[in-house]
Amino acid sequence: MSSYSAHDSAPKNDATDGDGMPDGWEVRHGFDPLVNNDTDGIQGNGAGDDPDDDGLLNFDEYLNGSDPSNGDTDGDGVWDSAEVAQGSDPTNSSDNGQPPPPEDILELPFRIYGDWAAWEMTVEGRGPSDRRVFKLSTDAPGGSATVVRKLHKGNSYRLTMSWLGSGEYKDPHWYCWEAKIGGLPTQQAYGNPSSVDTAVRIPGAATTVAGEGWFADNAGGLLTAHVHMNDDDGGNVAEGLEAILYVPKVEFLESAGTRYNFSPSLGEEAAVDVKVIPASPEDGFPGVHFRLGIVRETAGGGEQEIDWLDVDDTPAYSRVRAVDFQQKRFTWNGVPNPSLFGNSAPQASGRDSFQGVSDSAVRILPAVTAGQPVPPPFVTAVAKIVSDSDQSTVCEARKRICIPQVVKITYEADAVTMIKAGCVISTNGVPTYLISPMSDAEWDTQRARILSIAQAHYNAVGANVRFVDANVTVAQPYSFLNMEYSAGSLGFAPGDYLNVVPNDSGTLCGYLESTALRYYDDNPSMVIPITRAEIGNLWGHVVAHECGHLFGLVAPGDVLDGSPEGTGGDVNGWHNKNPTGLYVMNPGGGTNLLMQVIGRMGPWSWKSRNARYLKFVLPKE
Amino acid sequence: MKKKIVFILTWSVLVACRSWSEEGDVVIKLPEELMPPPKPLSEAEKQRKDKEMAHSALVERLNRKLPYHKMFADVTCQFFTLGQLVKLCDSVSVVNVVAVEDADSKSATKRLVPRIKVTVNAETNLLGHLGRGDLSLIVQWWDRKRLPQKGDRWLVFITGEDHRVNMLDAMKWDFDKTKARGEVKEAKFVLGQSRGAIDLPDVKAERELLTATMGYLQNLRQQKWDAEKYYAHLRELVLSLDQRIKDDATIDMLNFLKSCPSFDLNRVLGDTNIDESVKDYVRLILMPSRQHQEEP
Repeated sequence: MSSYSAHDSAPKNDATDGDGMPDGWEVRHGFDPLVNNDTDGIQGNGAGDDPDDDGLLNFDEYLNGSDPSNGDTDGDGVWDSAEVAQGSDPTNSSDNGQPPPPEDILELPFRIYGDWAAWEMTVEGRGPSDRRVFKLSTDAPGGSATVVRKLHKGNSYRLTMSWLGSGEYKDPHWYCWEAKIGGLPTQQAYGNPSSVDTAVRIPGAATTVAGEGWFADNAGGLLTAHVHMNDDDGGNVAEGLEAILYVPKVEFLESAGTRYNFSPSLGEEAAVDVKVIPASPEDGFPGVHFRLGIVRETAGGGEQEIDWLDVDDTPAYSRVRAVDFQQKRFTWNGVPNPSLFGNSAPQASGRDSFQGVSDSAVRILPAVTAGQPVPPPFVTAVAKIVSDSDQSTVCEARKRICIPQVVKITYEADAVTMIKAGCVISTNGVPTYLISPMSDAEWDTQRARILSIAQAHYNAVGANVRFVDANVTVAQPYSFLNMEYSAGSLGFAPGDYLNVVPNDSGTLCGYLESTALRYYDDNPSMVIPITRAEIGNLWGHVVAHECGHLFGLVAPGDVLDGSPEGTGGDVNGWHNKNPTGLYVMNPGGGTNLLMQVIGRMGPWSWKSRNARYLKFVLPKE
Repeated sequence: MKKKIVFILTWSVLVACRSWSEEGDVVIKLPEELMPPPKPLSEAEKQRKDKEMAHSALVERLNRKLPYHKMFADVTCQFFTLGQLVKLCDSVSVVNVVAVEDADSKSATKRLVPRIKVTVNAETNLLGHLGRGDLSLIVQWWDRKRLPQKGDRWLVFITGEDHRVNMLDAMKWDFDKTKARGEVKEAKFVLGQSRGAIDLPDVKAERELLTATMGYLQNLRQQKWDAEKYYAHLRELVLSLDQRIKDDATIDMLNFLKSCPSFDLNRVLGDTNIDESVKDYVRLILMPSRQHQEEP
């Protein structure tokens, strides 16, 4: 205070000397507050000078709180002007001169206007990560200032206004001000029904101001369209007001117990954790609410909300809640809300096409049949902060929730009998066994092996498929493969999604027996000793193959490397072309097939396109 | 030293696999407990395996030369030769197709092989007593190039029984259908698939097909299995200009030769009707096999 007196300046004046830089700041930085530095002839002292040559003029150094005589105020190696431009803090070295990632930057235009004196708005970062302080100044009475600043998502900011009047009021002692963010609000926060001279807070006007990516608690009415007021009666209302600007961020978290990949068929629930930053006031953010919906993609790039998560703490569904939490877990049982996703809902398409093949959309399971609303292979949880007044979205976060295709492996009794007996092949009336008969326990071991091997096939490509044994209780919807013994052949027949009608049967077993027949029929002395484990290998591989058909692999001549119909030893044309025998979707050929499928010829492979397709249509988190 | 050999073998297998993998292919790596590396073979086992592999390669090579359409290399098609259809059916009839519809038109499920509901009206029965009225059957239709149409005329092989026969048994020439009775269910094409329906596009084709079928019926369904007569029947059909009859007869011939140990294979080698590739198969595969079986 003594320094002000020493310089005989006016404490609340913007600049006694009229150069736009406040006296106190001038004193602190060695400028003469009584001399207009723009006209004193001393180079570097003017508001438009840049003595430290950092790209920020002295006036801008004042607005940003940086040192006009030090080009890198915080010493973090980045020029002050660069820090201001990119949105980092020129006065704090802890950010290493680096701004947040682009997705965490929100560019907002601020505007103030005032007459009779210079006006100034101070924006003070309240954290948790951004604590910059910067100002807007009209510089002179009757002026305005507009600046676009890069704010940091996940932070809040305190806004205050100062009227830098001289104190020498003149009649009629009225003045005006305006303060907006992003052009909002469009309403006047202050007015007077009987006279424009006296400012009165208009009840309910712009108490919350919300735009895209931000909202402000404006209970005091700092943010307003152009208003008039009289100093005699209303006082300098803007002086001392504050508004809290929130630039919120919603995030989905990965933490203990979260589950973004779940199977309703197996009784699992999705568990998602959502975090809102900055922390809300104790009674919640004003003027906004939170909602968490489940949407699915539809053909043509659209989306449809099929459910919402239980966002209230009461048992009943509620679509909205106050944003009075910083972190919360939500659950979803995977059953779409019938009112949003009824029986007439069209086929869930998941995604439009694979590599531009429009037909692939219809390959994506599951179908919607028998009145059972079925979610697609994945949905998206959308967490939003929404404005109370117009339901516009302030900010949102999206997280994919994936639902695996559950495939149940069932076995016909006749088929099991045949396998346990050793897979009998009767040649010329003489029974031949691939293996000696299996006990129940040995068969159980092989059943587990079948599941594990089939699962490994799909895990290898990251496709979201879960195989379960027949004895596992599974709720619809799910797919199934039934091992059948019919027409002389063992094989797995894929079923459609609702477990009603067996689909096209796999015939690899026919090949197997044919191959085996060649061995035994043509020269019975040539017995390949096959282990029980290899029987497990064989059927595990067959399960994986038939499931490939279930999921849409492989049409003749298509992008998935389907073979031309009737060629390549693939009479049905539903397998990979150019058979080598070691691709999963390849029926193979040749007399080594038996050894191939039991795994003796080396590892199996997915053809590249088949693998990418499976991962595409059956994504996994 | 043993470990080194195992390593070399494993490495060789991996290198061999890489040679056929295309870029971007995903090799399925199974944990060792699921897929233990093959046990090293003893010298005797190795010799036996080498012998098996050589024999396999020979069988494969000869198979590829056999004179039928290559689609019949698929054993599932070998289940549907005229001989096999005759063995398994309950009735053989000439029918007119009076209606065709998609059996799954209301289902959202996309099937690899469409199911077609066809309604036929019997014109002539060669075996059994198919009624005169309309008969509807659901059939898995494999030939996507030619879907059934109203007005088609077919030779159909229909069964009303749910067969639980081992097809490998059924491929023996003297398979006896009467001993393999199953549960009587709705009528369907043999094995429920479209290959039990053969198109009759014109009079000439129809005459040849019906003649061949009658021959099969006489040889295979009258409880009098005469190898001489059946061979005589087949050796004529393998010269047929009708591709289906010719292919089916060749496969039926091989099945006959495999499953009739009393028939002198030397007769095949001297038969001018028989294709040289079939003779090679007989000489190099079937005769050594039979000789081996006769050894104590």
